[in-house]
Amino acid sequence: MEELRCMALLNAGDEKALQHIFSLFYERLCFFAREITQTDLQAEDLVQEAFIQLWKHRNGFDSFRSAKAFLYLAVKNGGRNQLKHQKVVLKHVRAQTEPPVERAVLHKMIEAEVLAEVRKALDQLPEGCREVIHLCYFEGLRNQEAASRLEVSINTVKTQKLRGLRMLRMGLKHFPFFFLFLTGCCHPFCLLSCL
Amino acid sequence: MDELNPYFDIAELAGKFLQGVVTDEERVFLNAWIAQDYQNRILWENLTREPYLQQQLDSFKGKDPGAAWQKLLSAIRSAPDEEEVVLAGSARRRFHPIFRYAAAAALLGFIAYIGYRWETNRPVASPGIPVVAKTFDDIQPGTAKARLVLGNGRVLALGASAKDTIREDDGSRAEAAMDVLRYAAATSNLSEPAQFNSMITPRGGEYKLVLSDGTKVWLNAASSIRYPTRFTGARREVWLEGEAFLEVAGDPSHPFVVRTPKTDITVLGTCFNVKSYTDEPYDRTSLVAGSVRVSTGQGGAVILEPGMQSTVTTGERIERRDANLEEALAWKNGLFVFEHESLESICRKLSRWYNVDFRFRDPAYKTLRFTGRLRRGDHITGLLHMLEAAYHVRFEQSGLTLSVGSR
Repeated sequence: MEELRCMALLNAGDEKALQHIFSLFYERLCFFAREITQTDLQAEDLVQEAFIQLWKHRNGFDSFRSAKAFLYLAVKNGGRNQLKHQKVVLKHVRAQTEPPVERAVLHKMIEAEVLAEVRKALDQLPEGCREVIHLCYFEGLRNQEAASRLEVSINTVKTQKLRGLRMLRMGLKHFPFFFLFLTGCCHPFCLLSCL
Repeated sequence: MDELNPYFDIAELAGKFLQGVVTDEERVFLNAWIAQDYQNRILWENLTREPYLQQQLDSFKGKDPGAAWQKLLSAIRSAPDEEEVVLAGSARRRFHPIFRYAAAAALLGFIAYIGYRWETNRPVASPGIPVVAKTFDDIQPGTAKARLVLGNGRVLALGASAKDTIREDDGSRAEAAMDVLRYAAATSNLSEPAQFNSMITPRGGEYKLVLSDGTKVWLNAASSIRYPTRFTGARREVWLEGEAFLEVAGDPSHPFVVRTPKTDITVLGTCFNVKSYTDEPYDRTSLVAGSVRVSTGQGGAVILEPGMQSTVTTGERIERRDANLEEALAWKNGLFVFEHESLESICRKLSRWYNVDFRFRDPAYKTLRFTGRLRRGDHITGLLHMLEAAYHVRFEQSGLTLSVGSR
């Protein structure tokens, strides 16, 4: 869904627009929230509540970025309250309940954003690596599960994941061969790892 | 909420960089941000390191976004628009109506930079450190690994991937899974005398242990603990070298005793940290909860209350004072916490965790003091760059030895 249209629909109270925003940001927010809460369940709760708040204030956003910023802040803010509560419960174990440093939280947000971008780019790699990457990073399969699904060895899965990253990091600019192989539907690194 | 924009910009540039589509101009901007301070540099080191990226990507996938969406949908549908929306299943946690103001207030704190304090007599380096500096790529942070020596002398390797059931000649049983070895509670029909097992972590390894009485032990790197597979006598005794955090299962009729080369620690049921490395100048016991009695071979003894620590130096003098629990338990919480700590002492800790040796080209550097807090899972490069920037010191790597000296 295109950004402007999506925001207009959100303002108008369209659930489809909310769903689109949810699909864009849910996982990175969970990743971010886990830094704050330590347990996955609490993290998911925080993110849910953030989206509920977004929906309540749905008139106030004009771009994905503004919605995203609101969501991150809502998660962060909710996490602070949760921590306060825990602190009372676990008063005697001081060291464990120190709230994360603000700066570290900001950096976690950057990390969540970068990882989401990298993951998206990995999903657009040519065939070969992509299958492995999609299974592992998007469907959440473990290496072993992906290996048996694709009927390859676990080592192939591991190398293909690494190849994928390497392909990205080399970047198109530094890798003219890429265009040659694009027509052949497979990247040389994928070919290598398939051998 | 525009205050977050600079961070989103950086994240976008970093993403572009990783895909190799960053322009020269953007690269300059990115470099300036990285050079701004060491925390940015650490983040950058992490994000541009393959093993780190992969590990993070593996844990990135949320659990079942589809189900989460359905839950959200039913939450917003069931709530009348004018009223507050309450998340299904957690009805008591309501957002306060002044959420907007709370968010604004949080934002102020969010943006505020809580700096790290630097303590050094030398001037802080100008941000002239090249962005693409040397990296110490083959030095990795520690992981869950240990060796287990059984009563019959057999040695087993324990690692994050090993899942194993270990049966002893005396009939006792232990399960190794991920990063913890768990002994089954002793059954009464065991007639054989108990065997002694030892768990040994190498440098760059740590492991957890649950003893047959339910006592939990977190064993830090370069440490060993010897214990019976089940406790039979009037006292529960274990022998420790190195560092461990213990949560002793309560059993007043069987006192628990930790013996280290310098001290004996007698406890009833409690949580405490014991640090007793042979290459450290002192033994230190830090008490979180309960009560312990620390005694030396010379007859000196103190009783600790929660929040206190005892220090035993080589002269076997024993001292008691308020503990810095955050510092003492940092390792267990996945952190390095340095409070006005000498570079020599910091390097000892780093060598145990990253499995590297440090050699001081100039002994004067040993006494430099540093205060800061870092994650143990981070790559060593960022950390070393940070020390280099703070001290005008230089680390040079040859093999697994880092020599410390002037620039």
